[in-house]
Amino acid sequence: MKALIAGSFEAPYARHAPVARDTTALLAEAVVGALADAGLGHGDVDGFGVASFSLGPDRAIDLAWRLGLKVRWIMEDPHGGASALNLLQHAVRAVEAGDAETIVLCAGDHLGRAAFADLVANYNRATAEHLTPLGYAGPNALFALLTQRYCKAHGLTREDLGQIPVAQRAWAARNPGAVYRDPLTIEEYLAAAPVAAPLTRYDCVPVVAGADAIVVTTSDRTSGPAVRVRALRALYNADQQEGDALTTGFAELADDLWTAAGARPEDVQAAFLYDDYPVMALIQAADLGLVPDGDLRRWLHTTVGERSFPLNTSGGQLSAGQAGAAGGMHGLVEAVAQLRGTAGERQVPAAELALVSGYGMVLYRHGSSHNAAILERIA
Amino acid sequence: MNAGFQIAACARCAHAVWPPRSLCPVCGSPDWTTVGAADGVAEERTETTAPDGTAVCLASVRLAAGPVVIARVTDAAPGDPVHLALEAGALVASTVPGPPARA
Ligand SMILES: [Zn+2]
Repeated sequence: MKALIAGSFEAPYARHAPVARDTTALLAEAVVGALADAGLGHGDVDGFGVASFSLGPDRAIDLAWRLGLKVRWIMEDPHGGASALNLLQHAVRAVEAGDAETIVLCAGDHLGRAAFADLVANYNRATAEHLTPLGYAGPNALFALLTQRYCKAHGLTREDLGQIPVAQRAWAARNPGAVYRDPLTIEEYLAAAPVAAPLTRYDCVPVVAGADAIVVTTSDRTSGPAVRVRALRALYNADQQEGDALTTGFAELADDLWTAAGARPEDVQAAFLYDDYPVMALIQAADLGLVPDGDLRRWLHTTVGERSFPLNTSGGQLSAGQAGAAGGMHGLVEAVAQLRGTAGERQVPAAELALVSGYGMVLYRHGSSHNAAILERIA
Repeated sequence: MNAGFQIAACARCAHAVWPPRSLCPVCGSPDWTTVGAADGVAEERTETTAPDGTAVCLASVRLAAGPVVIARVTDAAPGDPVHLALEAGALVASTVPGPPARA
């Protein structure tokens, strides 16, 4: 039996959410919304997966209990920006193997100021022992170093890289769920004060509270358009934190991904790249083959800047916000909406095939985790 | 006390790592020795704000021993040779050999 993604939902992101909209409440909202979007009921669910930094002391089983779910497949993934596609990789196999028939995957966080500071300082042992003692206040500094390195290697300027946040802000204007929707000009982008040079606040994701969910089920249970995972590939510890990160694990997995999907980069109508920082969206585009002639500057100004190719049509995390571990599912939810034709004002015409990526788990110097999927609309 | 910053090196294949790890990523050996790592070259640097609100400069430093590390810098600019020392658990890179780590 083929597994399909039958629905998706994003519990609205908010910069300053009320305390009552805690992590559990947000995840519940996302699960209910995704089931409704899929035309399925609470009683149909027999598999459950979750990613969250702030669910503790509860775990997947406790959340499933709070949601009243009796399941025969359960999974929790702690891998932040790579969690959603990792959950999806396993959920598709589980449904196709008959281990479960309808799996809900959700991701979300509501982190208060103190919880966020603790998460950043103690993200892993390498961070707690070797970065936090330096006066480290989070990954902005590390990605500032990487942005400098990448721009120097490729002769790029802030004006080149700024095409990504400026274009994504224009997409966000059409997304009622994005937290920043006012137009952003390249002049405003260039004039912003550095947070960690060359990064300014426009290069850093706004922290929000929110949650996302999708439903994976058998092809006979879907109603209306659904989404098939044509191929999904992952690579973890690609460079063991020993490389320069100018190319990433995405470059290593790209050929296998496209071959398994039976598609080429020019076949996709939209891409949803993990945009924790503009440079990461650019590196992923380059590594995954979206810049076939290697002319990064032209790609930034024309393909992205003029929005001739739909990239991160929700506004991405840079404009819509990053809800902790939901950052990994945000692009997937947007891709599913685009492929199912439910993206409203920002709907991409004739979206049949899309690329989605997950990236993250900064392990000392840069992200350790890379995964990407080619998704296809099934009418 | 500290004659200079040292890092772990694989006892089997000599691959040097920082931060320390359990098994060598090259050969899988669990056995480690140490190697001097007090010399490097600053590559990129950025000024940011520490959680306590003070300004702090962090840099990538390519060690002569191999690994690229993240260190706090004071006077070093990209391209400068630097000396590394641990100060209260923080790796600090300076263009002049600093005093031994504070007790
Ligand atoms: Zn070894």
